[in-house]
Amino acid sequence: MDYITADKVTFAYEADENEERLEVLHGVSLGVRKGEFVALLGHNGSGKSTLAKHFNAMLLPSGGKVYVDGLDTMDEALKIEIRRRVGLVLQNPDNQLVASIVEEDVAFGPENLGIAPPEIRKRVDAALKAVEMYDYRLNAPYKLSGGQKQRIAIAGIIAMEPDCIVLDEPTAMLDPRGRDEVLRTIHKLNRENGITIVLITHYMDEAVGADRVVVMDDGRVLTQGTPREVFSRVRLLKDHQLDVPQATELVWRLRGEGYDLPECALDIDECVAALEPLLNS
Amino acid sequence: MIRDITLGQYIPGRSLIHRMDPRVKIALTFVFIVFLFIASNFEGLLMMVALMFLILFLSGVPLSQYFRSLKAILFIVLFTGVLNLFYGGGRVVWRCPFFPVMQITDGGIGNAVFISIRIVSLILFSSVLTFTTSPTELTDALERLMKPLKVFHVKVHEIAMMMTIALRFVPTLLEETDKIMSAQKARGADLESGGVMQRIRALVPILIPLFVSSFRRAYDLAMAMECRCYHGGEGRTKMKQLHMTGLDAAAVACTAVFCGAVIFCAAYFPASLR
Amino acid sequence: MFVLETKELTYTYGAGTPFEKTAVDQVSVGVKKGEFLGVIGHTGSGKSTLIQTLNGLLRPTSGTVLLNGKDIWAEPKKIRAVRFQVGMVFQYPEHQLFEETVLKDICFGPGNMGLSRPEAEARARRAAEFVGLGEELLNKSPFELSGGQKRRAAIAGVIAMDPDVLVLDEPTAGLDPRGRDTLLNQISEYRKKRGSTVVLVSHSMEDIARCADRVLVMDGGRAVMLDRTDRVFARGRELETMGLRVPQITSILLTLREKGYPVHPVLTVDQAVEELRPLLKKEGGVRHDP
Repeated sequence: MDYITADKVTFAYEADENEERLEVLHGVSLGVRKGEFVALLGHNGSGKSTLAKHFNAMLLPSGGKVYVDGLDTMDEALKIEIRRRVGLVLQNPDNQLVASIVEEDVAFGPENLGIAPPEIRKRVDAALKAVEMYDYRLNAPYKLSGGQKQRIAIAGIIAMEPDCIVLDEPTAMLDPRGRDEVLRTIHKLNRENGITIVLITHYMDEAVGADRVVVMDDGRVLTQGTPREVFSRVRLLKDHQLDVPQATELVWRLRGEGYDLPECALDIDECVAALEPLLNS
Repeated sequence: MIRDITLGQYIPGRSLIHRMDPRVKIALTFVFIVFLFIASNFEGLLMMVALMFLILFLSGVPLSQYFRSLKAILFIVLFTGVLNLFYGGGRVVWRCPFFPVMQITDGGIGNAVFISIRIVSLILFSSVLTFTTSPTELTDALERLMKPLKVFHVKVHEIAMMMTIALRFVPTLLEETDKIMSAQKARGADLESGGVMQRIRALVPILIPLFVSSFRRAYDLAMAMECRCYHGGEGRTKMKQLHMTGLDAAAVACTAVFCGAVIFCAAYFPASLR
Repeated sequence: MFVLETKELTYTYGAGTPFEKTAVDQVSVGVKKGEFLGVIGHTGSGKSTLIQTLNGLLRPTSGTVLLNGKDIWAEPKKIRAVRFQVGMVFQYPEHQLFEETVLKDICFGPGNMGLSRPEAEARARRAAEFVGLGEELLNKSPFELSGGQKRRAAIAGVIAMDPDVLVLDEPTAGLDPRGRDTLLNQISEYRKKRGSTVVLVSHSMEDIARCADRVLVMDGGRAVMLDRTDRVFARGRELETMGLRVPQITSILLTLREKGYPVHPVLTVDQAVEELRPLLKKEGGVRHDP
């Protein structure tokens, strides 16, 4: 059984009297397996963020169902438990941090869960070490870089000992170094701690490192599969104004001109390896 | 630098005063101020001043910092002192040649000195508190001290949460104000010239974006808090526990001695304010 | 002739205090009239500080900034006039919107220039057209617009001042690829139509590769490279030591060149296809799907 199941989920925001109800998700069915690293790709407006917020019961489906580890998100009584198991990290690093001292912010989650203070202390230290920010535990958040702040936000989630972390465009507001830091951290958490990761992003190169890529467009799942499977459907992606990594595009274009190249190259190394045999030295 | 000014400048340290329980510090500061006003003569006031010097010394904060905090209210002290010079009893020491009504008496001089010392001590006692206690400690302590008010339906936890979040965002908002100011200046906004009304109007392009962004932040933050299972103060624990130690007991005992001395002086010696 | 020039420009934050930090160190660069100059550098390299000295928001600690040959600080009281000629769009410019209607907000800049109401509105409408904001949006409150529309309104607000030089600090930050494409196209179009000079600060090497004629590389407060785009990115390995990358496509061809193949580094996929075509054999590829 999948850890998170979305079953024919439709969602529309509440509208004012004069306006039409805007349906954002049209019958999305999706499963996330325990321990998986899933990338959710799509334009702004494709519904990917909206879907992500269903995974921790921040939003409830207008139609269809969402189950987290067998728990129905519509069940009000299970809300806190679901949010403990599925953490959500948002885009703006600043607007997630609550306290003026890093370690107090990381403690916020466990404090809400009523965990005993000595246990909170242990969890906070462990969480900060996991994101490699332990040395900054007594610092003030505003002095940190964007990438560091996001890692603190992630630590705040880890301190609740979740099974899964959903990250909604966590690197959109970061510089390249910050992006690297955050991505390295979540891959590490996935590999070493077995935490299921759902990464919502519009950066192709972030999706390349996932186990599975789900592409959304216009409130529906357009295609899904391994990164290789998805990115080889270049025509489909381009028709929906989605990008592929430049390496992938180059190989696709040349293949289209008749050259004997593999179906898909995901990164620089694969691209070079694909081209070399064809180059006159 | 400017961003470090939150609640009157916290200076980190490990002195005896720094290590005291913040609740005790707040309560004792309150006691000091009350007894500054109970002291009715120079002898009693001397007791409080002695206590004050003891605390200043133990706080480990350089005296120059304390002087700097006094600089701000120097004008008020001088003003009050000078006023009191002319409102006292006793023997006249000097009479103004142009306005015979204005006269300085020896009682006036005594009053001026007495009241000036009182004001200065008041400021210094408060400075010790804010120099040696971090804003977070202060809000934690205030939250615990306010707990009894829950009986009167005062939302203690919510108030404390508001204080914590406000403290956290002060530097962030200051930075944002800087950015907005730069952006509007880049569009030709003139924040420097003009009369009062013009300058106030010039603030609109700064304040509105700031408000809008603050509401957006509040919305985002509320969502982030809910994601982390926030559901009000019920059932919440706190990682940082406040513990009173022997140090606090000693401080209370010491304060009690000095305050007792103040009362003794008040009873035994004549009043100094005339 | 340089439209903007700096001569030994130095800017130090907190000079004389223990927090002293030299953000820009003896930088002498010139921006050619009509060119599209890209500025790249790691965070903390001084690029943001540098551009703020170009329109007089920051006064250099030492050195000069010349606009059309004139020192912008010659008459400090008139520094505001410089900001109308060197228009600056900050990161996340949508945060500066404040007026009741979009039109009024775009008029803010022209209004500050002393233009009459009708003149300011005419400029505002032209600017809105440039960024692709429809007529129907102009009378709405800026806060009713979508994120992308807000950003375009903010940029229009600067374009409406009709500056000779347009400086943009990470204009595509936070936009999805489609939004990024659209915005960059609009900026290029604007530049062509009006003949302005554009200075673009960005972390996105792909954006820079696509648009810039020349690139200025900042590192630790110093200007370390200033050359044609293709020549700068050809020094990919050097850029990597500074913590910068090059566009993926450039890196691919650089790698091939290092392996001994006679290829030149390129900036876009189109160029790569052109570059590789003459060198590729039709058959003999190992169809390994790893």
